[in-house]
Amino acid sequence: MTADRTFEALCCRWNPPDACSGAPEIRDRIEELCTFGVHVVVVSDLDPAMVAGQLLPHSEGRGSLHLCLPRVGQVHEVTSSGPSLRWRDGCDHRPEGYGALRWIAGWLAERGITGSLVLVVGDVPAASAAFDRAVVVDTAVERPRFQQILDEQLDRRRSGRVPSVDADPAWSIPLPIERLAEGAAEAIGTIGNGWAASRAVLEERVDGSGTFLVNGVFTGDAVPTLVGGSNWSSIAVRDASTTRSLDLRTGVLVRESADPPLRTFKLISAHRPHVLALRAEGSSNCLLVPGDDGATGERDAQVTSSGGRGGGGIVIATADRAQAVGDDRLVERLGAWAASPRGRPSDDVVQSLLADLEGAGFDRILAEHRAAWAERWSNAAISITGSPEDELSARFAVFHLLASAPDAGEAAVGPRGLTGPAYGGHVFWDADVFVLPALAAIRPSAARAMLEYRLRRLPAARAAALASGGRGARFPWESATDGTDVTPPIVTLSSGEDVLVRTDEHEEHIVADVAWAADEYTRWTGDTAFLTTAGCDLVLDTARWWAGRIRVGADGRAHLDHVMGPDEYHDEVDDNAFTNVMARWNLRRAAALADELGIAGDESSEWRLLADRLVDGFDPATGLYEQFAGYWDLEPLLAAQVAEPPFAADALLGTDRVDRSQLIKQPDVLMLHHMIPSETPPGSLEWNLDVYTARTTHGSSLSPAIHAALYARAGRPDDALPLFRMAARLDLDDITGTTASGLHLATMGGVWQALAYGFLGLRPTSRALEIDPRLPRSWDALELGLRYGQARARIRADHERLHLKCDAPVTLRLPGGLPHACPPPGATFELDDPDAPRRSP
Amino acid sequence: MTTVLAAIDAGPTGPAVLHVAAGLAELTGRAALAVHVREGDTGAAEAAATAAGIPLRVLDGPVEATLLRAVDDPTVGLAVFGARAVPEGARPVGHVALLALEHAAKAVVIVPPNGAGTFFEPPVRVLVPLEATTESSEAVQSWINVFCGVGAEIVALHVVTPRSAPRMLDHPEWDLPQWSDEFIEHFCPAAARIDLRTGEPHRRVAEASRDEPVDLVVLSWSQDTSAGHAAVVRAVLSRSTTPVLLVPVDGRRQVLDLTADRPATVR
Repeated sequence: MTADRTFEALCCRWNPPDACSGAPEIRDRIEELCTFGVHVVVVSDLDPAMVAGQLLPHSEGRGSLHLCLPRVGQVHEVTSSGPSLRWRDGCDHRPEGYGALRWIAGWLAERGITGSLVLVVGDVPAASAAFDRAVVVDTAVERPRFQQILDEQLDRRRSGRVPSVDADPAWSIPLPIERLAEGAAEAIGTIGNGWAASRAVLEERVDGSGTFLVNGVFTGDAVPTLVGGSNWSSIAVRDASTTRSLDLRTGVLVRESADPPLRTFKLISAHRPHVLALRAEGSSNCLLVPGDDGATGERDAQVTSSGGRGGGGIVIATADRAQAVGDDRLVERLGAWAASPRGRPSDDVVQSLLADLEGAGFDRILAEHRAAWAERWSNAAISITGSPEDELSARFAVFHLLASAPDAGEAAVGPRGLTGPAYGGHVFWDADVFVLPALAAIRPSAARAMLEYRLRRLPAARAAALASGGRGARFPWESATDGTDVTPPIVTLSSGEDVLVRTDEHEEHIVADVAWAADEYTRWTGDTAFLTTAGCDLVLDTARWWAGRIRVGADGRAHLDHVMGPDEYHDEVDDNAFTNVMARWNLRRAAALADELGIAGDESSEWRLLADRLVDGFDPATGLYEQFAGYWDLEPLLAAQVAEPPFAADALLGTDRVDRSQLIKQPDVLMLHHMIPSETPPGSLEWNLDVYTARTTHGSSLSPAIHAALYARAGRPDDALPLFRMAARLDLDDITGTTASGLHLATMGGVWQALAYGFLGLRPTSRALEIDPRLPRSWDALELGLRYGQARARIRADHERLHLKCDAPVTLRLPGGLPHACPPPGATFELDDPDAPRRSP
Repeated sequence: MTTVLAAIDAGPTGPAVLHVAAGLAELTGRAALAVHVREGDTGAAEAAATAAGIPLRVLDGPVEATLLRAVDDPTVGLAVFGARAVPEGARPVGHVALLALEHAAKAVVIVPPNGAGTFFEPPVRVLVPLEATTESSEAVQSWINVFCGVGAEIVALHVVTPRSAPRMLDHPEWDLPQWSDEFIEHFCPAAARIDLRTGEPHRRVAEASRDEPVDLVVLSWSQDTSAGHAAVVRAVLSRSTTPVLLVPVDGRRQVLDLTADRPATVR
């Protein structure tokens, strides 16, 4: 059972007269395993000094040696200077030392070492319980057996065999194996660290160019697209089947084939952003080592480059080490990449990066990578008790969100992230409205980098406003490197038909969306300094745009003509409710910010005046918004009269027919209830939800998740669940038929928002984190990890209680209640009857 | 090597059928053979075959059964029939051609009145209407391969239906080409491009068959002409000005009992 696995942690008992205690051959092996990065935990009832005296302190070990003393509830780290106390149980008595072992288990989990990566040896029942799904070798094991296991582990490491993953079905995504689904599989299995990503291309694929993408590196074309780097993981493999899985917990891609034997394992380091690593092992008739068919040894670094010529460029260097072990061949490849948004970096840069890796080695890179991913998940945990399928698909979404943006500099996040070439990687409102709120809560530094992307393009947005006769900043519908609008003016379809694209002209709501994203970031993070310093112009200059853009009619009301709302089936309308109300919010928020900044004056007074005058299409008599002027006069066609949603009505009926009907692609009015519920009249969600849902085709991937969130907010979580599932499985089931060109990252942001804003009812404000859980009946509990202000929080709701764990004070506010300050470690609240009607947004 | 069989009668469509059969035979590297079931004077058929340079076999026996037996001959890879005498004819195809279509176990080409045109002048362009099912696509695949093999351009056509419509198009200008590529990959990998249309499939496919500059239309079908079925085939045969190659989907063919008929004799 254990012979062909690689364990990253060993937990063994060390008590005389146990078979393994004190033996030099055991000690030597443990010492060596530590140097390979293995974490060894010795469980003993002896005095720590006595045990430490028997164990050799590891000198240059990349792993660790811990001494766990259950009887006294202590954990010591053994170093060359002796044992030092790492943890002591605060309780007087813990049966079987459960607390100490749990601490060890948690310490390892923070390094990405969980489940089947842990081997428990000996009579250590408490350890078995502490390490969930650990591999346990019976207590009756004798020294030869234990020694054999250690030898196997050492042999694997000495020969550079492919590591194992914690094959936990709750964290593992099997990639599709059908030939026609290969493109989707490549996208689903994308590995990345936010800076760069690789699609899950088969190693033997020779035409793998364009499968490595770097955030913010675009071509210099008139309509730029992401520069496609080469397939750095290319290896000569023949006749191998393709069973691949993506380990969400640690961000590695594993391929296994039984006949002929082949295993590959690759990663893009989350700890060292410019580092790539791959190991492969296979039979000699399957895995051909580089150079020629049977060569072994090291190969000179290979350098490939892409792009340049007026745009950005990518350079990748890799170095291989190959060897034969019996009938098997092993290949280890370390790589480094460098990129620039302008020009191609020199080869020297990557050669230098590659040289730095020689001292690190694959095992250390893997250990660092695992630890980095564990740290990412520590702020982004998801648990859905009662529905493993929903939990896995939600984790899949959050995994790709966590891999979508760097946490420093600037982040240009396209609708498909770095998982494929679709949309050229252009930045749309998807980034601001769908992805950023999730990252603000689970990876704030990445959200900040996304805002930095907008900040650095303010000059271009100001120039665009000026060029169109306006003022302030007009952010483009699609942008890439320099912040100018890169929406393709005409797109030629596969049929040869040219289609005129007008979103750049009319879909102006993105201007307010950018401001909203900045505000949402500050509400999650508490980084109010952002809006009072560099970030203030994202709110002020966007308000200036609206102030110049608004037309005040003879009736004294303010209007926005010739716009397009999120429902893009109606492409040039007047007074789109979403655009107008977002503009109104933008103006009011800017006026309030001007007050905060002490710059209030005539301009901010004008903003408030215009905001108050803006028509919003709301009819108090019916409780309904009119999506835009004249919408109710259109043919009252319902989605169900055409087909079962989701369907792309424009493709089915033609754009003219759809334009004349009330069919809508995605929430438009309803986005107001999702994004800025405080700007909508109380009670208006329910009315508008029923009316507009009936007209919604869900012909946009952005639609189902938002509807799910809103159904939950309307007190109908069971109605929300199918929509949530549609969103969460959108790419796993390739519902759109376009997953091959990249994953729908904005949908994934919507999935997180459905969980947080929808089912948990979270809403960050400057004073408190509002919370109002509404769970589907089929879920027993929902738990999310996130950051709120300075606190790292875990929020768990079931149908009766709400549990908050936090490491810093969090102020919560439950429906109808006052803000409640919760100091660490948290608090538990009884929830109301879940069937009782709730106050709507 | 299988032959391309041209079934001709004494009517005016004979030369067009022979012309198409000769073109297909040349294009696919097969031999052409004309057959005619004697009903009276065979002079017109012989003259047409001679003019086309195609050997003629005159068969004796009941017309329908004799022709069906000839089509079923394992040496025949493809049969070509004339649709009807005049474009304004009341039915899309005559009864003999219809019988062949319904019962033949192999592909049949129907030549519309005046439908030979400039058939198979390079570049050869083949229109393949697809209904977006694996079964129907696989049925025509071998013929698409044949035409691809001789350098023909394959143009896929799909009329979007509620069942086949893209479920989501965030931005059609970006997503539709991707969706189309996926569609082609799944249902017609050899296609150079796809023509997507909206509306009633039988009308749109028939319009395309009539209006598009193609040399051949390739359709799979269930060989079921009962009410409510084969609307696309009927419409295409009614309107197409281009020969139509109809490929039966395996397992759906109607079985015709020919045992009561006397054997055909071949002269």
